[in-house]
Amino acid sequence: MTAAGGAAPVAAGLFTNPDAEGAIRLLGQRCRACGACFFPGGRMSCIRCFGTELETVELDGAGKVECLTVVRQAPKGYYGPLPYAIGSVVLGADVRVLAQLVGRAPEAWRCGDAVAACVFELPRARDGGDPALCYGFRPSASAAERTAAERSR
Amino acid sequence: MGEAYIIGAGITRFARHEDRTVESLAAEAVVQALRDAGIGWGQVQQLYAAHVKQGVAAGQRVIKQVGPSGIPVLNVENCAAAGSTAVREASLAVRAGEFDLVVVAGFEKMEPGLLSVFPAGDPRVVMGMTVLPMRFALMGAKHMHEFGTTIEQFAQISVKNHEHAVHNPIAQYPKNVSLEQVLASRIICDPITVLQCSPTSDGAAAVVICSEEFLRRSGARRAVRVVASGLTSDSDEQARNVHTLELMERASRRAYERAGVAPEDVDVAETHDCFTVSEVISYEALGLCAKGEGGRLVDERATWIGGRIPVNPSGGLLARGHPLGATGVAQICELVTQLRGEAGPRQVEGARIGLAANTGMWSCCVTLLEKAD
Repeated sequence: MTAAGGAAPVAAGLFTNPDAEGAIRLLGQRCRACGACFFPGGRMSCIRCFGTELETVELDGAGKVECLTVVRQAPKGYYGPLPYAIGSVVLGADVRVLAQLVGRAPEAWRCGDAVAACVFELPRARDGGDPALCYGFRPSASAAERTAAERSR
Repeated sequence: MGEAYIIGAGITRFARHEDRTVESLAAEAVVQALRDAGIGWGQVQQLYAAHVKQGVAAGQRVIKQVGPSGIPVLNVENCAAAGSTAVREASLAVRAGEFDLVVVAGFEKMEPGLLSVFPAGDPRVVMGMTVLPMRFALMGAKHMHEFGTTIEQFAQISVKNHEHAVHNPIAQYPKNVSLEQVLASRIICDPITVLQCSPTSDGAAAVVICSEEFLRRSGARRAVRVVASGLTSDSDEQARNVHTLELMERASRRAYERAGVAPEDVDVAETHDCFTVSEVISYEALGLCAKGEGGRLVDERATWIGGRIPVNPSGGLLARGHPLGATGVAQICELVTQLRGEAGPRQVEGARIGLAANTGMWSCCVTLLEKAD
């Protein structure tokens, strides 16, 4: 399956097809017994009650950065740009997702920033090869406007 | 349930041993531990071999160097918690009456560079989310945000542990570093600089563990009792992407309960300072201070030798070195030396109860030791 941009998703079943602006919803699992949601999916049982009746759900598209770090030395197997920000993002009540924070200088991110799920491309190999379409988070539209307003003040 | 005692400890120098095989390092530690205990290899009933990336049947390869006595070998892999996990298993088997005398050897010769524990092809590798300090960088960032902990407080851990290592003859980096040097060193992952990361190391450590009956018969002196241990695996991190040391909290609670010991009773601790951040947060997970107070404990210099509760008198993973499979056993060796009162210039005066906290990816083992006489 190829998405709009041409790159294939980094793995199948992680997120919905991106819209024209690159917005996505992450695909998690929800427990039919207790309602707990989690990401990524692919689990055999619920992380809370260990129930085995699970369904795939689209998680909230909007979230908040709980904490973040800026990575300055690439781990083995990573060929994207450096430095980059990784944030722990809380979607809805308590689903935490770890992903890159994009669309803003890595150092400019702060705990508490509002974000929206999106796609962006990363190389799969040193020479580039076929890029991978990855999930990440970017400033949510309203947050971007707020930041701009704050900066102009 | 019977008791288990450590009656011998041996450790090689932690360094990059380009010209040595891992088998010879492990054998050296075992022979030293046996000599320290005053017993012969022929009396040993089982070998626990702790290692992480040393290939198939590494323990059997070590036996070849020490002596083909035909005893069973148990290889223990539990990432960086392998060493303490093996000590726990060994002491449980002795306490259960299965063996009178066993040896635990932890050893590792590491590949250079950042440790990689994720399989190739995992999407997280492509997305750059497998950089090891990341977990601790996120813990640190959250701690700073929630409790006002500072970058300097984290960095002080490296200053302290290097200072301690100066007095440890087996340490990989027995030299002082200043706070300015730590902060000015290359950043790997904010706020963790390279001098706040444990190094790539080679080395081995071993202990001899015996039953109460064997101790009485042998008349061995300088014994240290394995009081209790707690091992936890998996955690909120894998289920919920929450980065905490809650698994250390659970492991220590279990060990304290089993031992009937309170955190205030601990005289000396060796904790898993794979990165500076993890040591500060471990103070809280182990109950050495209240939640959020880790940074304050650093400011009070409470965890320096001479402070209220010295932590990592050996120099810790940061300065003694961190050969993965050896680390947990090395922590126990240091506590044995401390509780015997044989640590020389790095001695924690009057230490009677020691605690070791050893973590690997998604496992943590906490061990409580007590001076036996």
